[in-house]
Amino acid sequence: MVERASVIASAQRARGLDTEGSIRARLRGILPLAGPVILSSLTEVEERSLALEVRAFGRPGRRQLLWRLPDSTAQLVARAFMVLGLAATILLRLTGTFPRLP
Amino acid sequence: MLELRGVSYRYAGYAKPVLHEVDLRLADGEIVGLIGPNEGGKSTLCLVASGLAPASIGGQLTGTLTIDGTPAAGLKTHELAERVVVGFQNPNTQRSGIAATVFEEIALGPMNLGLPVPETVARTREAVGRLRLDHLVERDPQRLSGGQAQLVAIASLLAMRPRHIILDEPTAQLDPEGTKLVGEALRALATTGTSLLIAEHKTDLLDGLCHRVIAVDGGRIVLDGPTDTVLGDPRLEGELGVEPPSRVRLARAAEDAGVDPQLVAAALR
Amino acid sequence: MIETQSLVHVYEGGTRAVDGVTLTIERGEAVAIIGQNGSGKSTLVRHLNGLLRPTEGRIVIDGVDAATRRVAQLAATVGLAFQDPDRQIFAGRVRNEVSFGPRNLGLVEPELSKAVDEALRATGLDGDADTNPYDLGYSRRKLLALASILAMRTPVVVLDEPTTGQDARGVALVEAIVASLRDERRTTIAISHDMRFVAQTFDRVIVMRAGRVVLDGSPAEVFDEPNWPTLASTYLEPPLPARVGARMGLGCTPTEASLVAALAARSAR
Repeated sequence: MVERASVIASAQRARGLDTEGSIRARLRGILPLAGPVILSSLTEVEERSLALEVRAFGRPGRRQLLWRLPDSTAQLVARAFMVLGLAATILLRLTGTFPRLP
Repeated sequence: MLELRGVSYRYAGYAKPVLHEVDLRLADGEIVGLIGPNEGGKSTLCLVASGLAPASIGGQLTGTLTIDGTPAAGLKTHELAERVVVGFQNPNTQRSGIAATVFEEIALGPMNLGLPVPETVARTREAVGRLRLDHLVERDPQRLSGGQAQLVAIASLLAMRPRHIILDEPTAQLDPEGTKLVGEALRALATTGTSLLIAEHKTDLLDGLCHRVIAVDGGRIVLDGPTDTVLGDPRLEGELGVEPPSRVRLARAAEDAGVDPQLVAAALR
Repeated sequence: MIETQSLVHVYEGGTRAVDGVTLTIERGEAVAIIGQNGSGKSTLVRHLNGLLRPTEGRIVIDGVDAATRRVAQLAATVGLAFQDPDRQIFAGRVRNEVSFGPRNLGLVEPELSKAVDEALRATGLDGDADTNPYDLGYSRRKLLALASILAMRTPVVVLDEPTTGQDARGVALVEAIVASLRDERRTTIAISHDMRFVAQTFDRVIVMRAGRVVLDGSPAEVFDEPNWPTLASTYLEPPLPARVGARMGLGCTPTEASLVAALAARSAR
């Protein structure tokens, strides 16, 4: 996005847009600088989404991912404890028991 | 077989149709070239033949698109994707952006189809092998040349094992090196038994590759026949604004100058 | 007149994109700069309007050191048409887009409309003056970007890949524009990888490799057989007629017209 904005700025400066002059001059540059960023992003989004549809990104259902992160029982248990611990902390906090504010 | 019958198409929000009464048949394994002036309907025809128009972009289609016996009308885009896929000219917008390596990028399509991992890997390896991308599989998809990126995009389509592949001007934004790479990929694709519809300005690429060539202008099919016949048609340069292949141009220029075209043809070989 | 004196440009990060280029381009010349991606072509031309400043060396335009002028000032002398039209189009109407540049340069009515109308006619867009640029296809938007530079009436016009993505009609328009710029004694400098376009349209070809100029002459000189190894080293191929002519022992015939003329001359003997 930054690279795109910089190319756009170069193209408009090459057409005489003054980016180094007075505040008024620079304000006049907002549309020529921001416009193409938005417009070209929109066309690009359309192209991108078509390309994604073609590769079935919109298909419902589970995927069998190439990489499976190793997940042991120990990690599963640890996660369960963390969730329970969080729930307990919230409950205790709500009932005013813990922590005690001075 | 992919068949368009009496198809007219109007983009959403536009008053006038851009395609008029188009009949087109793409038989299994056939390789067909698509030529015509810019804004004459080539790209629209590619979108319509893939079903993306109207399934994805809306608009109004009259007539029928039938893919391998199934009417495309009811199909969702992912169902269409299992049968026919389309590649575009910009190599950068076809990159998913979520794959760390070229291998994973190519694997995304089959993966999205819900295939088991061994099948996904097999199809990916096959596409990589066909298009001779082995030396690129570990690379970051963001760091490829235009031609290489386009090759990866084509491999990503091939990995889905569609019956039909449509390519809309795959070399339009590439330099001569990239064009050469894609030309080789097209010849490799031609050996897979997939039917191909390739829209191109560079008629040299289509010459020697396609069985048939179709010319589209003003949203209508104006020529449809064997490659040599169509690419040798005098209307190409004039009315259609299409540059004939080099051998045709040189032969014609030779004739015009009163020189035996065979002399030039011999030197071309 | 444009003069570069031992021009060097090193980007942040150390890439020496231009490595000592000394060139003189006279008023009214039509020059093509060719070379692989990364050869320094784009970097070089961006010094012409001050978008880039030399790391070492100087660039002098009509006797004035470019370093003493701001980009907006140099834009009155050097118009640079970028490759991607979508990186500059912002107006809702073709006419307004084209008048942006000349207006910045201080052109007022009635000269302003004259300049805009001329540019629209030259690029075949006169019928679309009130059309929204995004209702035009990509190749016509490219012509629009070109029109918006032409309307600035600069003595020097720089074109970055003007024929990429164009159909035969678009290429013919660009060729006609370069010819008329030459007639008006305006200087044209184009970056292109279309060898046929280069050989047919330009008087002078500059070949760059790794930031340096490796060949500089007329198309017939540059594409002559002794230079083929140099061209190959920069992944460039001479245009087909040059290869055919060489194979037939006709000397250097970089264009179809010259090849055919040489053949006709030989068979006349």
